[in-house]
Amino acid sequence: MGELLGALGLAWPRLLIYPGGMFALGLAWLLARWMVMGKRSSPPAPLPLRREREVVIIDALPPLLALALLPLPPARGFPYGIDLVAALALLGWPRLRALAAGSGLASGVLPGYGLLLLGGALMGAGAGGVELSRLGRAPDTALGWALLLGGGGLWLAGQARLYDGDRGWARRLGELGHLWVGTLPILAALAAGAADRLPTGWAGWTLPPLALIMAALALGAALRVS
Amino acid sequence: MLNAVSAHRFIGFLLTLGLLAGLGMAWLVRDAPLAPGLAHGLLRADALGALFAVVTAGMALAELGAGRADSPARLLVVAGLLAAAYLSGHLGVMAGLFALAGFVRVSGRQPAAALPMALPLICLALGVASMGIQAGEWRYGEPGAGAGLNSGAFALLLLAALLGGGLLALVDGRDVGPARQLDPLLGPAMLYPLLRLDSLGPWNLGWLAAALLLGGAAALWAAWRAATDDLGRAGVWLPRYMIGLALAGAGLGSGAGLALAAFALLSMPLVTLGLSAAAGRPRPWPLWSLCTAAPCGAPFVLAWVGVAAATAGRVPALTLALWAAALLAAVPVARLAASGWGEGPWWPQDTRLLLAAGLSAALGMGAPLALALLVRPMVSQLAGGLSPMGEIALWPWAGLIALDSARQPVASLPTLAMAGLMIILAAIAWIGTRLISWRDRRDEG
Repeated sequence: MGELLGALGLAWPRLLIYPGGMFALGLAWLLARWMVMGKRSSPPAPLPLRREREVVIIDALPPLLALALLPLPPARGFPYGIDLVAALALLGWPRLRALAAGSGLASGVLPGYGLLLLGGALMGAGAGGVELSRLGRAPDTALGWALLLGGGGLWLAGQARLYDGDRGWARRLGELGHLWVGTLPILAALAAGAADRLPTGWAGWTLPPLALIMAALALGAALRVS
Repeated sequence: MLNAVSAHRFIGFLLTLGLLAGLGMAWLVRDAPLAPGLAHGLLRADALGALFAVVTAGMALAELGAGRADSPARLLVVAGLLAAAYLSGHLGVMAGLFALAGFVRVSGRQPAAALPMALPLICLALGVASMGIQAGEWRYGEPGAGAGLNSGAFALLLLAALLGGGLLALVDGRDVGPARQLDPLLGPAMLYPLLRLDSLGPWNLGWLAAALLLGGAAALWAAWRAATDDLGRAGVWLPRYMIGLALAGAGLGSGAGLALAAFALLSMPLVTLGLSAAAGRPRPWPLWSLCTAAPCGAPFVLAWVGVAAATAGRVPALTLALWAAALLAAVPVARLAASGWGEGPWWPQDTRLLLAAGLSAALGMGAPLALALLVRPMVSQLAGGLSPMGEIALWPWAGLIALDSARQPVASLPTLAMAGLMIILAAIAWIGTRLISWRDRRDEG
């Protein structure tokens, strides 16, 4: 019990600064701009509901929680990490609320989620488990690498397929979380390749932004194609 | 002379006592099965029986709460007979009590309607007789009972579970007719004889594969039907989705698979009660707690256990199927929960719906407690029939964690840690909204 309370007490930088909190809000805004540019051919769809501010905040809390729990360096370690299933549920909460407010399964949702799930299952098979912390670690075999990176690519393709325009802060945070999950295999590859080349302590500061930029470029390309 | 309402309440009270007795039994048998020397082994209480007693009492209460029980007294008798079957250490007596419960259930119906409903019980009786005659030992707790395990008996018990679970309805999407209906008490109870086979010995690979394939396909198919059918029919398909999950769990043949079966069975009464109570309500937002994609309720924990058990068992295709099924199963409940937004008042809500949602949240957040009380004792008592391909373990003061055969973590769900962080985040957000509101008022002023 004391260990849990201690961990919660020490988690405030994760919740307020990085990888959740202010950093996530800023990055989510930037990503939303980038994704709108990538999807320029179709105008952003209107919000399904005119909702009060409190409801939007409630929708934004699950993605913010998932973002705060991402296993990203150089954030302070948190001993109770989540896995892909919990991450997808938390990050997909705003989209689920929008889907529930609609009249049924919109076209594009099933293929999008199919790609997301296939990507998630492949990443899990490659990494030997679906914990997020595993996805950022190098697998032992070439097949593991292929599954992990291929799964990450499918995940990003699924995210691009599901994207239907800039739909508010909760959805922006969800998109950012999805992108970070797709970034984890790239981060594993960069860390494996650059582990011996970078000075001690630099990897944590340089590799996550580099991996995120690569994943964002891939997502932008997938948005153009989809 | 009791009037109908008083009788209804009295039976509800008795069923609640039965539910508590089931939980008490689970506590008593958590270390080892209770097998009193009297009655020559006819009586035997173990954790599997306790789990099914809890589920049967819960389903009976859900039916009573939903107002669907045409005869509450008959419901009580059937639940009592099934509870007696779970307490029997003799396979023949167990099958006989199941048959008696089925007879009470179908009595008064036309033969043409009664026979399809009795078919699973006939399969059960034939399967049990085949095992007992082959082994010459009917008491499952005795060492020689395992000699009766044979493919014919397994196939009959699997068929009984499939027919009893109403999975025929998946074929053409219609649930009319006695052969396609899912009896709320006997349907989940038909999984008991199948899971009891784990007491006799390990299953061979063919049996595991059959249960796994049929269960996984049934779960996915039922979830697809639930997502694409009319909203009002979600209550038809979601219990079948859970029975499919329980079958897939049995097919995994591991501790994690048994945990999947247990959480599927425990979630079924809550979903049944919640969906029936929400029908026709203007704004049933508490249903969010019963949505598979909402990470606070029992259905989400069930979905997580399914994906984690399949991952721990190294069956990626099942991982994908159960994950997809979970998301599909979330669609109708989410749409129901979001229906009527802005049309009706958010309060008051139906008491039964609040109860189901509250219990779902309690089972979701308290999943480690349910695991410790109901699942782990069952897994340890049935360990002789299980493979080491995965286990759902307690993560002390955090939640649940799935371990593979090498005892390495493959999935993690820190329910308590997530709840703690969510409370902190919600508090920060509340302070933020207050500050923004205060600033808005000041600007307007």
